[in-house]
Amino acid sequence: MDKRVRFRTGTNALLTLVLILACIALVNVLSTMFFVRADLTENKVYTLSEPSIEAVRALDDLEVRVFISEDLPDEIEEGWGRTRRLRGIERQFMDKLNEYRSYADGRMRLVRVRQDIESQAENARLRLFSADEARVGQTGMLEFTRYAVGATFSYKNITEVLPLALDPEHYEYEITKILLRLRERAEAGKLMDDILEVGEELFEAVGACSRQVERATQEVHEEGELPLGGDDPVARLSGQLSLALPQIKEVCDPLAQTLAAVEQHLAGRNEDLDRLLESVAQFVEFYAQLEPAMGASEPREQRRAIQIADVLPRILETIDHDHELLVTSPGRRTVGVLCGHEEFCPFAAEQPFIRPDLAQVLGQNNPFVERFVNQATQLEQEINEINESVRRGLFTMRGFDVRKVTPNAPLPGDINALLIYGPRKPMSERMMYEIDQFLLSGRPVAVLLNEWDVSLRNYDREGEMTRTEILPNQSNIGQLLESYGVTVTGGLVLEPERHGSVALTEVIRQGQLAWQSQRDFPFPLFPTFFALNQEHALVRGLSHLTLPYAAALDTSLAEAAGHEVAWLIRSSKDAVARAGEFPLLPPQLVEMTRSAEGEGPFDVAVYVAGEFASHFEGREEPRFEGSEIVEEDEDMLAAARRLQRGDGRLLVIGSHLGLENLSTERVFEGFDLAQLSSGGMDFLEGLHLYMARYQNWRLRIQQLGRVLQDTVRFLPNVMDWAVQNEELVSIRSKGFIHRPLRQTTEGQRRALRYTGILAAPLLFSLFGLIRWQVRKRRKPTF
Amino acid sequence: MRSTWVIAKREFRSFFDSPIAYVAITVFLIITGVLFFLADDFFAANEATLRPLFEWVPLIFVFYMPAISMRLLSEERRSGTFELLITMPIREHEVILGKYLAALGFLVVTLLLTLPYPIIVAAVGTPDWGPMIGGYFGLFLVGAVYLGVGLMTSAWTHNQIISFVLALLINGFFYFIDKLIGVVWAGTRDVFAYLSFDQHFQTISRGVIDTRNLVFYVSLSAASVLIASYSLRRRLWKG
Repeated sequence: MDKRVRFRTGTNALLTLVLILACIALVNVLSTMFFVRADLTENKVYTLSEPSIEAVRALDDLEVRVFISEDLPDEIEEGWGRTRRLRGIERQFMDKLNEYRSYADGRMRLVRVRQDIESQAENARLRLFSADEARVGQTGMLEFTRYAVGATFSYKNITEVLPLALDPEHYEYEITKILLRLRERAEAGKLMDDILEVGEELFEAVGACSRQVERATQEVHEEGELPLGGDDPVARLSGQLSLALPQIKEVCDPLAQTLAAVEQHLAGRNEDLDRLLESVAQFVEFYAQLEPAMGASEPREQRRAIQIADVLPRILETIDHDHELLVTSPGRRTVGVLCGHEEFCPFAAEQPFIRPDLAQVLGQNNPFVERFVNQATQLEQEINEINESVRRGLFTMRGFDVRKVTPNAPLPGDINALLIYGPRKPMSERMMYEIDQFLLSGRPVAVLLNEWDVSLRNYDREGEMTRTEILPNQSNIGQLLESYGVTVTGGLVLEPERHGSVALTEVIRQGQLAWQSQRDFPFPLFPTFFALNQEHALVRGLSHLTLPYAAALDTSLAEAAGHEVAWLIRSSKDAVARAGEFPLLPPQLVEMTRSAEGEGPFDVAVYVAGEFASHFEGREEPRFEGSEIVEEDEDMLAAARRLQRGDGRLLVIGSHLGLENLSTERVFEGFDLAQLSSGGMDFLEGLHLYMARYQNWRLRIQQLGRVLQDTVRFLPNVMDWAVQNEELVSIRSKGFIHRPLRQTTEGQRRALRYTGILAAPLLFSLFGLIRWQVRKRRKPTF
Repeated sequence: MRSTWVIAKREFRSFFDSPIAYVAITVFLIITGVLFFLADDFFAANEATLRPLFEWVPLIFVFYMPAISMRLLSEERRSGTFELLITMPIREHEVILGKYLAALGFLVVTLLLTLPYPIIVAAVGTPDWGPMIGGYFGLFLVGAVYLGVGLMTSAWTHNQIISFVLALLINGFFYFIDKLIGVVWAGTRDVFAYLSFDQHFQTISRGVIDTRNLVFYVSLSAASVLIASYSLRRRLWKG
């Protein structure tokens, strides 16, 4: 071929290639703009469901500001040895938001924040996170780089925040929840416009005053000007304050008047506003003390002025919190969590176990008492921290507003639903009356039962493992439930084939050596239920659920009374129910359950609604323990308010989902303060017992192992039901799918394992050999 | 097109005429089986899913696919049969396409032989079939790109080993590219993230078939086959 022709042909081919590659690049760019997706998952986990579409269409001018850090790490440590992968999270989050936008018919604006992302995100109340690697910052100190992935949703001057969006499987749930909340807040806010307006006004005024004071204390004198007060920092700061006095007075003085006016017109109308007013009053009080101290010449007064100036921003923080509560209050639904009967009650104790001043006095003369007090206080602190962290993790961070309901006091009027979570001790007649009236008032009540105390190898006070035992708990909640048609039959449901495993510690001895090892044992008392009522939102979309220590429930009374009754979770026909003494060690329990004839199915979670008769119908209204005789007219008023019948909604789950009470009352049960001053040493022995109780609580959590992970993920469904966000339950359930394997023997597992590894390669190799032989025979020989 | 099909069939058969295919597939199946059932301990994980398999196989493909594709053109050129092939009334791109289709066939056979895994998973649990189908589809797409890259490097050199190493490096680069995102210039991060094979695969293996991922894999496969075709033509012109 001619050299020139070859060159031309080659150039043409190269150009064609470049052109085609450019086209391919262009197609890729275009594909990122125009794309379609097919969701093959069974529950359409990655497709917007109808409630989400309706929620976004209901808001006519929604602005979403998205904050995503530019250089997100590949993965982050989440504690407990777990890591979360972040690769591709940006695209997944944006995809989801774009999907909402596409359904919003132009009524949703998506704004991506590109400048100064992290600080803007922080101002917008997003929760920043850091990777595990620290870097040396500009100041030479080790710094953790902070990242943001989240968004704010604004609608009609109302803003809701998605503070941290790291879980793609729950994006739809989180976003739809925010959209529904925006709508609720907008609707409910109309009714309390004046309150919100006043709250805003006060908050702004206090903020301006605090900023003015802060500015005065931080002000740096212009170069050349002698600092007031010379080198003495106190005098200098005080001088700065007195210099700024006119400006401070101008901004801060009207505050007291504004507060007085608001208190006169709106005090007592709204609990959240009252709380804000209280904090603002505290601020005003401190400011009133600051004003005379600012211009003083005495060092003592000067110091006082500076101290007050330091306190004001801290009060502002409280006001900020109260203001946030007020702003988010329209439409907020609070769930009351009953405490005081050894229920699961994740709140820190309000009172210290031993008063600090008393502890100090007691410990002064006796080093053993001091040791006891130190260890007990440490234990108490640990318990409080666990409770706070559990509450945050289970409720607050999932957007549920929960409030502790204490016994022997009326139920708070502003709770929208009541959660009675596995009481172990009986409640007073009056408490039952409070619950009864609450239910009859139409507000939902969810009851989770904890009928039996099952101890599997707990620790005793010597730190030794105890034998297993099962004892009935003392709760009387069953009596109340029976009035509404739900009978707790008393037996624990055991599934012979479908159940989770219990993680038990066993001591392995080999010669002189002994060590502890944790092992999973199939455990029928953690039954796995596959019959879930798909017509009910609470369990819709779930394939199965494992409920530890589930009690069987009977609703025939409710049906007979004509109530609306729905079973939610039901056992198999092979299940059995046992009460009282029976073998608890896993191998014996499995054997017992398998050899028994099936007694099922049993209902273990039911829903009952309708017009209930009061449990106290025809009886006198019980009084709080220790309450004095009330006046006759007050009694008449209470009688007039009393409900004899009423429409109610009741959810009963036969299991406590593995979450049990951890409280100082329970751990330190039996402790008497007098022991510390008696001169004896009994209290030291008691300490071992308290430690053992705490360890046993931890041990029970460990024993639940994976079962707990599943049940804890089910709990928000119960909460959503309680606050009547049932459409959200079905969305969440899409992402909540654990698909455990069926129970198999070790032999079956081994067989399947080696079949999986060897069967295909062996068969394929055999096929190759046969083919080779056939070809060899066919080959002509010469 | 007919010629392409004839070459594809001939090439596909030739894969299984030698013991190499049997050895390669057997080794692949044993490695994946051990990783899935023993290293990740499917039964201890107690979840009816193939996710661990879909995490391992794309990495194994980084090595496995170049081993399959390295001989596609290099072998013919080394043994001189390629000259014979091009004297026939067929065009270079038909040869390339035919060989590529044969390699895809080999990939399909490999994937089909892993079907006992989902069967075992379904026997002991109730898996969600969407992510499984997506995962297999994703593996096919990833494998197709790797094979395309292998074909391309095979067109560049007579030497199978060099072809293998080049393909391994290119595939490895695209597989691990997202690990480099943190260290490259911020302006190129989006491009690096987009080019990550793993990132696209993750979406598909969740059970979401997205046209963006399809376009990415198909266009990369097409690009590598085109470059292979161009490289071959260029060598022919050079003589």
